[in-house]
Amino acid sequence: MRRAALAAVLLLLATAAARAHAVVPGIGGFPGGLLHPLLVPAHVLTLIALGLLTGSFPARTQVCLLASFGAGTIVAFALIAMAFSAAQAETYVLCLGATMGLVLATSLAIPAPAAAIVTAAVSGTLIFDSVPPVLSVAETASSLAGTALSALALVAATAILSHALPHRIRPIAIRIAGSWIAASAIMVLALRLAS
Amino acid sequence: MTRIAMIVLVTVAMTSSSLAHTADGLAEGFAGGFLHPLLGPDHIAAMLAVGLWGAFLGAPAIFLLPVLFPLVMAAGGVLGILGVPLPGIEIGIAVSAIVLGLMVALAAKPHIAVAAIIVGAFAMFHGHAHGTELPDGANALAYALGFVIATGLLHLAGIGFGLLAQYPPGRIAVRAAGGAIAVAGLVFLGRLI
Repeated sequence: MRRAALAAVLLLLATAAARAHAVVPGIGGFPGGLLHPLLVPAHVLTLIALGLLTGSFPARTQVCLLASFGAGTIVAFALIAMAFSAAQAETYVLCLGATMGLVLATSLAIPAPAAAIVTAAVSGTLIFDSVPPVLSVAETASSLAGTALSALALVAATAILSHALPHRIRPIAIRIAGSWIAASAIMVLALRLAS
Repeated sequence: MTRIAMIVLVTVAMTSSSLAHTADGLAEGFAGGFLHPLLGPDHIAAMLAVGLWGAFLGAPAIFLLPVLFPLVMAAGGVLGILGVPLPGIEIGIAVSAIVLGLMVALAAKPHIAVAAIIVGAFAMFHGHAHGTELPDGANALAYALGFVIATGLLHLAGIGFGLLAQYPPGRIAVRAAGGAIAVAGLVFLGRLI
């Protein structure tokens, strides 16, 4: 029993070496969480796409979409607390980014409930993909709170900025940005599929 | 105990730092991708021609072609990444400069669907070339984003210059630029044959 316990402890220590989620080494907790969605390209692209999508809706729907972002975050928090994990969360984030990029590029009008589901899915997968490599529950919670806050801020800022664009160029700029996001994400997804 | 220690040691040895999710190499990846289309004169010529032709054709082509090109380029990139061969990549890229340059020089105004098919077909060649050179690793997305943005900015530069076609002297300048691109395409093709 003692040998097994020793082995378990050593294995737990060994897992710390796989620092798959320490975006900036040495910065953890809430500040590390705040930086996470801003420094992981897949997150930035997907959140910008979500912000542009959110900005295409009327102000009232935008508030509902931001609320569904919060709901997705809370559900992900609850699932993580119950020890659920998603091994390929970043790939799902990229898939959602590519899908939203295509929607923006083709100027496809999607209904608000569908947009709310996509928003909740983005926030949920993003939180799953941002779990820090620490064993402390408090540090994990503060890091994920920082991630959720900065992700929400990025989505809201992008939505506001896209809404502030002159009416003449807004649809064109959003379609071009959507095509760039979709093109980048699709190629990286193919790269992951190939490897 | 020895067996357990061996298992632990082997497991420790296998848990290498994956670092797939760090910010390392982001700037290098983006810079490498951004510079990639800018360092190939054949790419530059063809991208500028897409923008020039879009401006010449007017709405909706002026924004449809820059939206269409990255998407079809990504499809070509996927073929390159997955190792699906596309014959005559470099020749196709050189011919794209010739054809698109000629379209501008001759002030050709086909139906938007025809223009989209021509531009889309050449985008496949450019995308395939980029896709085969896409680096694997943490900075792949930064690289892909870099070269997609550089390609888009070349289109916008072409559109910016192409908007001069609204004025008679500007129209001559834009058509001359198209002719120069077609000649450059012939030079690129001549080097390959």
